[in-house]
Amino acid sequence: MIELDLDAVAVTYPGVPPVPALRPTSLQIRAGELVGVVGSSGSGKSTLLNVLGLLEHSTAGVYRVRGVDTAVLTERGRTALRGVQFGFVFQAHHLLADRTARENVELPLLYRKVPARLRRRAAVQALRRVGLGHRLDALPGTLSGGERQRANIARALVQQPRVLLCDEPTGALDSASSEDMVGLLQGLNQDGLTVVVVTHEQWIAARLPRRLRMQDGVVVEERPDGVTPGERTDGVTTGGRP
Amino acid sequence: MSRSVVGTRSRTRRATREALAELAIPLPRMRVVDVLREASLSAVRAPARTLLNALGTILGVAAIVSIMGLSGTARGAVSDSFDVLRVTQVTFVDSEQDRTVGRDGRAAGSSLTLRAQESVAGLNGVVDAGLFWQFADGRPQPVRRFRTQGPADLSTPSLPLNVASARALTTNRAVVVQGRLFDAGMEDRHARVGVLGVVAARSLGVTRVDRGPVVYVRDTPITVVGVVGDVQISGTMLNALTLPTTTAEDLGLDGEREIIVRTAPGAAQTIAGQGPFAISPLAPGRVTALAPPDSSLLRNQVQSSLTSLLLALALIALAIGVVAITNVTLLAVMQRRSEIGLRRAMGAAPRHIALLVLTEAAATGTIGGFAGASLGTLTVAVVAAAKGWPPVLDPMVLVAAPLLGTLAGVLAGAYPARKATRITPIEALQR
Repeated sequence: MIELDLDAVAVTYPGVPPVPALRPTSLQIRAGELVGVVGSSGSGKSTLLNVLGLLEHSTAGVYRVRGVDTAVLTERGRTALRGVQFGFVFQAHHLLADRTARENVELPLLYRKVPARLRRRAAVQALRRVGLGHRLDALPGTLSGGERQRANIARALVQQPRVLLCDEPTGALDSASSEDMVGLLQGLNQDGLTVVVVTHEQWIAARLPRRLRMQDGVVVEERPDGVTPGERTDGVTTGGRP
Repeated sequence: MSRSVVGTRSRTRRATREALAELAIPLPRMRVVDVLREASLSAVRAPARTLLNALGTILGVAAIVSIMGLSGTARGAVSDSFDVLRVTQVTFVDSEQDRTVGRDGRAAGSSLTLRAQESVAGLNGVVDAGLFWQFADGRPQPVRRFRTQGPADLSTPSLPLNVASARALTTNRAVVVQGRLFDAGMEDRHARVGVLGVVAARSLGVTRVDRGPVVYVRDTPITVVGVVGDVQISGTMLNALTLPTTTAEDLGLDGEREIIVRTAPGAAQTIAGQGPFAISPLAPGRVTALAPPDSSLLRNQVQSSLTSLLLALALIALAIGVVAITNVTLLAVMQRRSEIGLRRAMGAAPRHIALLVLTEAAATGTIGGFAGASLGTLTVAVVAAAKGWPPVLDPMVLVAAPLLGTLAGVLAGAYPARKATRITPIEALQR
């Protein structure tokens, strides 16, 4: 099943001259895929992720989520789809400093009218799933970098999204914590979650079954052997487990 | 808004609903209890920010409560002053007084006499009443210190000549600094006595009265029995020689008479109505009462002016408070862009963000309202204690103050809330 489908989607920022952040890209991501997006700074990785997560509007092309054209959605509709379909893991954890780990993880459920009791239960389950069951009432300031990032993932998982979008999830972690993080993401993917990971670290990308390389706003599919075949003439990259 | 735009929006909403239904995704919604909980958590967990936010409200509401309380307290004090000094005084004059002096020295046609004075004094509600007038409308008259005055009368001092009954001196609350006042007995005996005002005594060179100094009015010796240092009504007495009414009549010193009456608080209007009948039963119309305006009317006028002025000040204070809270709330929203963007990324609709900011501002305003009401009450109590006034504070002000704080919070939060809705989720990722 095609989960996310970009059809000649492009993002151009206004300016003189206009800045193409994402050149016309066609890309399909199937349900249950684990996709890595690699590239240097400014190559358009984050823009691609923002478009996928409905955080940013494309300026051209068609973007479909499970076959539904997102262009027909109002802002409230995009918010609804974003809130349920996607979980976001940011490089900076963006945990609220004055809320405990459990309260932070509960936040996404506030906007789905979930009763407090069920929110608490879901938050506890999500934190246990990422191995933070013992730090439920800890404030972010008392958590280690790795623990914060796990809480970040728990917050993304609590609403049971279909797709997890991770923007440099290991960017602020040491190598041991980064290793744990990759293992965690692989485990979540094995549980059926679609995961898209933006990273600039080659060793992480090398462990992901499907890799997309970005360069100057162009998406190029990498073969499993690490060889970059170059951009296809039709600009279409299709995914699926290799 | 044109019909086509409305139609397009309606179609867009329908398309959104259909698309979300296809994906089995509900529109984002938030429970009211969760809005309140989030707002209160944000307020409680960041006490420094809350205090800073509430400071404008605290000062604004405290200013209002203080102003309302102090105006009430001051009004009470002002009213007391009016009751004591102004609304207890009535003056009667004879509008048809014939100032032609008869052979016996009496003004032939005045209805204001010692007998009339006693009639008025007998009215229920009268504390004291006295007959009083100024000879020659208060123009200074020669008053010699000795029977013969030097080679010429160039150095003869001139003084206004006041005439008062013994009761008029007490009605005037004359304060004796030397000697004594003349009394009703002296008045009855047509005694040639008088009292000098403290200024007049100085100009005549009278420094002691224990030896009965004599001054001469129209060559008639007048024994000075006392010196008056202060009076409450007829201030001219301080610079004058005041003679008993009988003595003045003997000397042909008449003038425009008046009976000064001091009444019990609240009785002035009644006495003003009854007095003319007591003074001149056959022709009450010729007697005019000069009473102050009705005390309640006067009080209301003063209170109204005072309240208007102070209310204007209070509103200015509130406006300053609202502007201050708006600024601080706006600053807080800008500082929390990342948090707001994050909430948007996690599914919060712009209206949820606006609701959160508004509710938090209202909660902060309410807290500020309570604190401001307490501070204002304390201010009123301290100032009243320092002035020796009984503190007066309408309980409704204390009830309304926190509500005012809430209202100020909502007003002040409106603009920042609008700004907050424009923060995009992408901002959370970029920081």
